[in-house]
Amino acid sequence: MAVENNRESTPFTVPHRVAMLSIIAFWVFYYVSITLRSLIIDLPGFWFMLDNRAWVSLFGIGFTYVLYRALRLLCHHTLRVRVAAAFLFSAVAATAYSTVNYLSFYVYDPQPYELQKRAGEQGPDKSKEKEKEPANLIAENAIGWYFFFVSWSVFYLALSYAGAVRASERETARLRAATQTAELRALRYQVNPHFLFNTLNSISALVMSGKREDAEAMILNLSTFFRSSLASEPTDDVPLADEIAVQKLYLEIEAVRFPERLRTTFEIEPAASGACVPGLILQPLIENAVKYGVAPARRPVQICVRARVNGDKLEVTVSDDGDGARAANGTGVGLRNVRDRLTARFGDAAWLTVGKRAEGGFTAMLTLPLVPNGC
Amino acid sequence: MAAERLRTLIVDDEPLAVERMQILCAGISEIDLIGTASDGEAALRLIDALNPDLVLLDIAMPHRDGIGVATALADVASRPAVIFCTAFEQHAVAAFDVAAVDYVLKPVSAERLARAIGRAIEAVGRGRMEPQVASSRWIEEFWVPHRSEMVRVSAGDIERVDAERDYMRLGVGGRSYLIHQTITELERRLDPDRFIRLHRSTIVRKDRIAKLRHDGLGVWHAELADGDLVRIGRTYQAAAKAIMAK
Repeated sequence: MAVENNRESTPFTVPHRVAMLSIIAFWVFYYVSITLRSLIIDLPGFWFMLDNRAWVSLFGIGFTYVLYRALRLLCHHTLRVRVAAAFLFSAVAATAYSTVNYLSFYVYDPQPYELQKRAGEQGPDKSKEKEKEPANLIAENAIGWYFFFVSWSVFYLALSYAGAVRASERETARLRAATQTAELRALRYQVNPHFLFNTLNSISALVMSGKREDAEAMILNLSTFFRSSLASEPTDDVPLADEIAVQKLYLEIEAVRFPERLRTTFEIEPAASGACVPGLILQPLIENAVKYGVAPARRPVQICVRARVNGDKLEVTVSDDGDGARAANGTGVGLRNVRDRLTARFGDAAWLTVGKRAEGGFTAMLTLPLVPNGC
Repeated sequence: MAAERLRTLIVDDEPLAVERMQILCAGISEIDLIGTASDGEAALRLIDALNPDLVLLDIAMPHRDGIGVATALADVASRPAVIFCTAFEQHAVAAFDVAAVDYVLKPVSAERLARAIGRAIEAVGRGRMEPQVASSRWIEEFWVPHRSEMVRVSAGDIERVDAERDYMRLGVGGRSYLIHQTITELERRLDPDRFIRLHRSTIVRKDRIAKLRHDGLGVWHAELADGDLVRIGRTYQAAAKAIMAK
C-alpha cells in the first residue's frame, strides 16, 4: 500500500512486504533456534512441543503484526516518540503473547508440560518450584519475551529510518538537479542591461539622425541575437558554427557602439564548426572582452575568436589585445557561469583556462570533449 | 545668469550616444553646446579650459569614469552643474556621493532631458554650484530607481531602511525604493544624530521611534510611529536605550 505513493508517503515507513518478511523471519528464526536447542539438550516431549510451539508462534506473528500496525500509526512522529512507543507496545505484546503461551502449554494442552515436570521432579531442587500462580508464570515469561518484541521493534524502526534517509537523499539529489537546471536557465536568460539600453540608445541616435538603414540593421541584429538567446532550452547543445554566428551578431551590435575601437577576427577550423557546444557558452567570454578590453580603451582593440580540433578535444579561444585591468585568475561572475555550465554538461572532461597574454591583453580558452554531430 | 544660455559639455565614449545628445540639445533653446569629450580625462581638461555651466556626463567611460569626473569636480571653484546620463542604474549608489542636479537613464526622452535642463538652470541660477567642500560627511540625498526613472530622495525623508539580501529598501512616506548597497556602508554615511541602527538588517530615523518595549528575557522591540514593531538586536540595545533616555 505504501508502494504507489512512495514520494509523498510519510518520512518513516517501510514497505509493507518488507515489514511482513521481517516479522516472519524473526519468528522462523526463533522457532528454528528453540527447536534446535530442544534437540541438543534433549528435552522430553520434543514432538508434542514442536507442534504446540508452531501454533503459539503463529499467535506471535499475529501479535507482532499488531505491534507493527501500531508503530506504523505513529510514522508521522519523531524518532524519539517512536522509540518510546516501541518499548511500551512491546511490553503489551509480550504480555499478550506470554498469556497465550501459558494457556497453550499449561491449560489447553498441558501434556508436554507434565512430561517436563515429571522429568524435572527427578532433579533435587526443582521439586517445590512449580505450582506458581498463573499470573506469576505469565509475568516471568513476559519479561523474557519482552526482549524479543523490543528487538523486532527496534529492527523495524532502524529499517524505517534507513528508508527515510534514503528518501531524503533522493529528494536532495532531485532538488540539486532542479536547482542546477534553474541556474542554467537563469544563466541562459541573463540579459546584460548595459548592453540592451546602450544598444537602444544607439538605435535611437541612428533614427534621430536619419540613418534609417543602419537603424533597421541594428534592430534586426538585436532581435536575432535575443531570439537565439531566449528561444531554446538552456541545456541544449548547438553546433559551434551557430554559436559563432550568434556571437558575430553580438559583436556587430557592439561595433556600432564602438566604431573606432572594436575590431574582430574569427579563425574557425572547418572540422571544428560542426562540433556541439552548450548554447551561448562563449557569450560571457565575448562580453568580458568587450567590457574589459574594448570599452576602457581609447585605441582600436582586436577581439579574436579561434576554434580548432586537437585530438578528441575541441579548443575555443577568445582573446583580446586590450589593456583593461582584470583578475588574472578569472574569478568573475561571467567566467564562473561558464565553468558551472561546463561542469554541468561535461563534468571533469571540460575546462576553462584564462590569463593575461604575454604580449598584452587577455585570453580565455575552452577545452571540451569533441562531440562531432547530432545537435 | 539665469537668462543666459547654459554653456554645455557632452561627455560620452560612444559616438552615437554623443550624436543623439547633440540632436536632443539642438532642440532645447536654453542649451549652448560648446564641446564634447569621449573619456574622463579629456572631460576634465575641457571643463578646465572651457568652464562650462553644465556637463551631461556618461558614467561608464575609459580613463576615469563619470563618477570619478564628478568627484574631481567637487572641489573645483565655480564647478559646472552635472547631469548624469547612464544606461543602467547600478551606479546610483556612487552617484549620491557627488551632488548631481539630475540623473537620467539612456535612452532619455526629449521631455525628460528638458526637465533635467530645467533643474540645471534653477541650480545655476541659485548659484548652488559653489565648491562642495564635502559639505558634510553625511549623505544628504539619494538617487533611487523608481519606475523607469531615477528620483531624488532627501536623506531626512527616509523613515527606515531594511536590508533585503544585497539590496536596501528605503522607506519614505509610505513608499519604498530599492538601492544596491550594504547596510553597514549606509549606516556609516547616514547622520547618526538622525538615524539609529536597531538590528542587523534595520536602520530607523530616530524621531520615528514612539517607544521601546521590553518583552521579557532581554528581548526588546521598538514601536514606530506607524505602529510597526522592530526587534532590537542585542548589540544595538544600549544605543537604543540611550537615545530614549534623552
